[in-house]
Order: sequence, then structure tokens, then C-alpha cells
Amino acid sequence: MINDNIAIQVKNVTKVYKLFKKDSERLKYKMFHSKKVKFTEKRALDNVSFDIHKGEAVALLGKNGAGKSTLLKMITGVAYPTFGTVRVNGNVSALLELTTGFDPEITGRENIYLKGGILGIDDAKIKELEPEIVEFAELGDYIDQPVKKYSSGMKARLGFAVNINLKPDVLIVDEALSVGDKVFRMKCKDKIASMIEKGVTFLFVTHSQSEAILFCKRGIVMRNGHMVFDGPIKEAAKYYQNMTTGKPAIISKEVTSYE
Amino acid sequence: MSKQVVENYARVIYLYYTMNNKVVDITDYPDYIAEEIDLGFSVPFIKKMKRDGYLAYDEAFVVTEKGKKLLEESDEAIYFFTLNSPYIKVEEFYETEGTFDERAIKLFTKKLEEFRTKKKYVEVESMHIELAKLDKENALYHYLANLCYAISGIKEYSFIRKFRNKKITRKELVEKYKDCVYVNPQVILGIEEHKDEFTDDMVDLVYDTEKLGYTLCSRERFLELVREIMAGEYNNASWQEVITDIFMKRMKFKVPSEKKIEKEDLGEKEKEESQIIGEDETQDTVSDAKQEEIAENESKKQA
Repeated sequence: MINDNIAIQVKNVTKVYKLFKKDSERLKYKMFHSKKVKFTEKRALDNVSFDIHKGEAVALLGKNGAGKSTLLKMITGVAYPTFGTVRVNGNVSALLELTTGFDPEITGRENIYLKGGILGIDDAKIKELEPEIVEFAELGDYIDQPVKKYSSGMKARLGFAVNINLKPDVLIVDEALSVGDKVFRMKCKDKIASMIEKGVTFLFVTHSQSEAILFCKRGIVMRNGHMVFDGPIKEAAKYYQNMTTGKPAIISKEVTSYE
Repeated sequence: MSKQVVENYARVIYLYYTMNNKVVDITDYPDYIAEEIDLGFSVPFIKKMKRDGYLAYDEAFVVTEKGKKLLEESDEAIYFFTLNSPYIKVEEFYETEGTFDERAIKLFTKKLEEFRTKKKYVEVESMHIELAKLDKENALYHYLANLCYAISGIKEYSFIRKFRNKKITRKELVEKYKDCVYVNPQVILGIEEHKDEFTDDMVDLVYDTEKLGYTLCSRERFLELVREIMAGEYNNASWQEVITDIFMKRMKFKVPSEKKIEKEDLGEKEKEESQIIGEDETQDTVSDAKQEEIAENESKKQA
């Protein structure tokens, strides 16, 4: 039962958050584990298991609060499960919270090295990738201006350009395809499509069923921390549509696979 | 288990990871490996592996010939690592006899019994899925067993006790049961894949073996559910409504809307089966009112 072909393995993952009425109660609990402190438990994820194989493009669908972002945090290593394991093979690049992680006092170009370093890429490698990243970001002369002068859109474009050009094995995108103008968005989509074609494992969190169908072949639907559907993307989109509206899904005839 | 055996296992999985991933910096090794073996801080261990000649460094960590030889001799460790179950310890796996799959089946079966006894139903469901993947001959049974727990409402039974002990309100209890049906997509797929093996008497086999102390789904209804799944027509929302309505009626709460009930009303057989058996420490008996109702129905039948 040895399978070297798995890029992401989520096994029996449960994440429980303790919700306190006041911060002081949270502090009391953390410091003294006082039994007098009352809290409610919120199961953000409940016994979720799935495998994503190398080269697969998978959409993660679900309403707000379904557990998608919690799952992403586990996969990117930002948070840990209360129970169960998450294993990722390969280096991960995640397009989430694109406007954060910059040092506002240094230039966009310098921030490329900062972000790359945070993601574990050495300076020599970043230097190789720098022209591609700068060109992709389309910031013009602003690339050499301090980031504090950037708009949120410009930061997002820079963040996107850095993460997407780092040649990851696993690319995770969390609702980040609405960055920039229509031309930039098209460019991002083209870039993602070409990465998928080259065999990058792709995990896409989105509310947009058409975008999910455009890039992905498989869809996982989450509800209240549970996985409720896992199968071909069009069926997943229909399932999600039914779940949210109670009406049968109408998938536009124009939406086909990106291929 | 000896420290040496655990260290050897740790060594193997670090080497296995290095063979399958590019590791440029020592901190690139993921935390889950160290957690897998309760290693804590893994850097000294990896440095020792380098000193001992299992790993070398050339722009990235590489497995040496000595390391490759160790990997070739360590199928057992690699199998266990890729099994990746949080319920079984490596020591237990090493101490069990048989082929790798046989060992895994024995251990999951043992855990299944333990979890059933301890009434840990989430874990019972998980064990059935693990066994379905390993024990191909009995895969369908395990998927059906998982399903019978998933549709039963037994996982939420503790809230009924809380309600009776006035620790939660009726509204809070009803909210739990309005959202209690979650069937794992793997189970749906598994039942569809094995549908040619299904016979109606498997329902009795599952119910008689699993012996759920509480279920909102009668055997007849379960059969209906399985047939829907095999026909590719399973609808979670629809079954959630059915189970919620059964729950409301059993608790004698007002059913939200008659028009939502697409399935037939509780039949006589289901009324008998719907007696709450309860858990050992709170043995629920059929209420006096319920007994009168059943007696009345019986006399009507006889008339």
C-alpha cells in the first residue's frame, strides 16, 4: 500500500476551536486550564480525509464557514489539526492573503527577495526568477518604490507575481483570481493553466463554479466542517449549487475545461 | 518497544521523505515526521543521520548508498508510514504478525472493537472505512456499516441526554438533529462500486452485528437508502429531512411542515423499531404513553 504519487494527504483531520466569551477567560484557561472557565467548542473540521495526487487540479467548494480556509491553513502549515494528520509532498506556494507579508518600508523589488526568503527560496534562485516576477507584476517604475506607496491592488499583484512564479510543486489559490484588471486576471488564469498543464498540483478554493470548472477536474464540497462530496468537477459544482440554492445547477455551455 | 527500533523507524521515514522530495535546508523537513515519531526537535537527529552516513548534502540533502540500502530493507516501516493512520502506533504494527495488509486489518479490527465498546462512533466509522480499503472481500459490509452509523443519529445521542438533564434547550437539541446526516463520499462511491455484491439480507447482517443502541433509521428505510445510493440517486438534503422528521416525531416535537415529508409516515414496524434502547448507563425504556400507543395499534391490527 505504498503510494509515492500523493501530493497532499489529509487523514482523519479534526480541528476544534475553543470559543470563549471574553479574552480574559481565554487567557485564564490557557494559563491555568481552569475548569471554571466556560467555553463552547466549534468543530471547524470534522474527521476529514482525502488524497490529492501529484498533478491533480482540485477545487474546494463550500459556503463561508464550511472549513475550506481552515483546511488550507493546515495544508500550508499555518495551523495544525487537533487530531489527524496532514502531509504535503513538495514545496507549496499559496496565493492567499496576497496583500500581507510585505515590509512597507522597502521597495517592491526588495520585497520579492523578502517574500521569496520567507517561502524558503534562496537569493540566487530568486535572482533568476526576478525578471519574470517583475514583468508579471506589471508595476512599472513602482517596483522600485517603497510598498507603503502601493494600493492594495498593487500589493496583491506583486504578491501574486511572487507566489506564482516560484515554480512550486503544489499551488494553492484561495479566492485570489480577482486581482487587478481584466487583462491581468486573464494573464493570471493563463499562467495557472500552463502550470497545471506542466504537472503542478493545484488546489483551488473558490465560490465561482465557472472558474472551478475551468481549471479543475475534481471537486470537493465542504459543509459545516464535513466533506460531503468528492468527485468530477461538474458534479461537484451541481452538488454545491443545489446545496446553496436548493435549485438545480445550470452550468453555462460556454464553460468547458481550460484544455 | 526498544529505543533502537523506534530510531530505526525514524531514520527510514526521513530517508523516505528525502528520496521523494527536494530538501534544501534542514528545516525543510516537515513537522509531521517529527510528530509521527514523537521526536520533538528533529534537527539533531537529522544531523546525526548525516554523521552516520545515511544522508549527504550536495546543494540539497541526498540519500547515500548506505541510506538506500536501509530503505530497501525497510518495507515494513515504509508501509506503516504510508498507511498514515492516527489510530495505530508503529510499535503495535511491528508486534503484530502476518503480511503488512493482514497486520493492518488485525489492528484496525481490534481498534474497531475498542471504539464500539467505548461508544466512540466517529472512530468506529473511520475504522470501517480503513477496513473497507484493506479487506476487499468484506469491503461492502464495511461501507454499509459506516453508513448505518452515519444515518442513525447516534453520534448526537449525548445531546438528548443533555436535553433530558436540562443542560441544553429543545431548540439546541433540534439544531443538532437538523444537521446530523453526513455520509462520507468514499462510502457512497464504495457502495456504488460494490453494488453487484449486495443482497437484501446484508442489512440484517449489518444491524445485527453493529447492534446500534440508538438509530433513527429502521432496517426497511436503510434498505431504501442503500438502493438509492446504488442507483446513483442519493440526496443528502432529502435524507436529512427524513431523519429530522423521524427524530421530531420520536421526541414528540412538532414536525415543521407536513409537506416536507416525502417518505411515507412511520409504519407499524418502524414504530416498534423506534424504541429507544439507549446506552448502558442511561437505559431508556419505552414511555408509558408510547406503550399505550403501541398497545392500541396492536389491538387495531387484531381487530
